Amino acid sequence: MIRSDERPADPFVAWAQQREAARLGMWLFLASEAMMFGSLIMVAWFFRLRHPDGVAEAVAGLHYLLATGNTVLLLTSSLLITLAASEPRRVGWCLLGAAVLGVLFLGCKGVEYGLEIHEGVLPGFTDHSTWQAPSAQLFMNLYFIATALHGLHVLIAVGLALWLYSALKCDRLAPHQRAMRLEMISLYWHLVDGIWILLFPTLYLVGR
Amino acid sequence: MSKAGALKVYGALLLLLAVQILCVRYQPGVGGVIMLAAAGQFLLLLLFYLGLYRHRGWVRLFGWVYLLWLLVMVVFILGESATR
Repeated sequence: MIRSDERPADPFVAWAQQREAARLGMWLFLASEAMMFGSLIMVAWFFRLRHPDGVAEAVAGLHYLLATGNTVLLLTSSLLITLAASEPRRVGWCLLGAAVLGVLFLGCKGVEYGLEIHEGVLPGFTDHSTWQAPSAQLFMNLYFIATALHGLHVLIAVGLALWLYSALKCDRLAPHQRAMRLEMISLYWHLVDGIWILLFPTLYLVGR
Repeated sequence: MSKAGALKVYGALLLLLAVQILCVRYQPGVGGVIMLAAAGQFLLLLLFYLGLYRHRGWVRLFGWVYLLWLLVMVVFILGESATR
């Protein structure tokens, strides 16, 4: 008798075929994500070129050292996700480590938002604008939208990693399913990391 | 990807991050270098962690689409500043 999890899902006739379809779907999804964040990054650069003084004022108020720490956390989590694929015996620990680093990233981001709320510069959390140039407020709006949206993506990535960790621990997945889900989650995780790699200098570093 | 390869890429990513931070602290106004370092990091991630170098067919095609998208952004930014 063949267990249902030992066969590929309908309508696929082979694991390789299912895996190839999953890859195509995932890369299509990642392409849409890259275009969404790519547009936000382009808008940020448009602001920088059009309102350099206002943007410089806003950028000077951002906590770039905290964001640098966050970049190290995300890069390290990407390393752990890569190691999870290359070291089958330590998949669980690598996934758990990456998830913990993702949570730390979100914690640091929360601290950063807290500081910005305290300083009265985060859009939506202050009654009066503290900026000299109105364009600084525009840039801060974009900063908040881009980083909050990225934070949501990190949260989803952490959820996926923890879900896979628990599924592996309870041995709920067949070997083929395990490898495919790990590959899909690692693709998503690396793209979330890649988006941050471009957002970080665009929002925090250039023009400081 | 092997463990040694993953660690090498990680080292290069951290090195490029260090370049960005050093530029910010000691050479303000070199935004081009900072963005070049960031583009280098993105390229490393795309090639090695996302696995573009070992895939063929449409996966490689998507990789090129990403890189071309980056190129479009660069052209847009440079075009904007040149025609201003």
